[in-house]
Amino acid sequence: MDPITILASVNAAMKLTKVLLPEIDRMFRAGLITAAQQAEAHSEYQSLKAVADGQFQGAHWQIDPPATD
Amino acid sequence: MRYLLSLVILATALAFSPGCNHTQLDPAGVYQGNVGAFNADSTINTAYALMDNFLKWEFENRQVFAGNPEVKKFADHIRANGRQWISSAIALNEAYKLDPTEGNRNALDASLDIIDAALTEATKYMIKKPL
Repeated sequence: MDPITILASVNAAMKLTKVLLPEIDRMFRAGLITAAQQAEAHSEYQSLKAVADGQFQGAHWQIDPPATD
Repeated sequence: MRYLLSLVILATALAFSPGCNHTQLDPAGVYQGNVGAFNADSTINTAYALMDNFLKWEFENRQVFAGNPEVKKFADHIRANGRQWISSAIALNEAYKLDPTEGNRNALDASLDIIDAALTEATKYMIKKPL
């Protein structure tokens, strides 16, 4: 693997870590869950439930069609 | 890369591990002390967030992983099934809230287990071919 590919892979890995860390932080949340934190979770769930299909749109949710040439 | 994929597995495993911490709810909150309802909603939220974030990352970095098709294969597995997994979990979660029987609880747990198993299994085969 050439150095440029290695650097690009490391950069991509760091990006994924950055987006996943907040979720991991939420999962490790222990102790008393405040009313505000409950409201946040409830609101997020209601939003997901209300527009479930809409949550799965966007280019990153599309499977590329087979290439034709 | 192994570290990164281990992180994904850890996050997935933790997301679906009931009782991994000792959650207590402020009784004044919207869940009124119902830890089970809070955990179920939060687990579904987290499952969606993990999938959505992972797919965005894969989409934005696809060229980087052109030499490792397993990454896109894993992402496409989620793209093909993620909507159904979350929809089923929400439907079963709502059914359990309306009728909190053991049977409905087991059905909800089974639905969450499917998401857990799929993400964990798909992630495992990625580790076989580290970048």
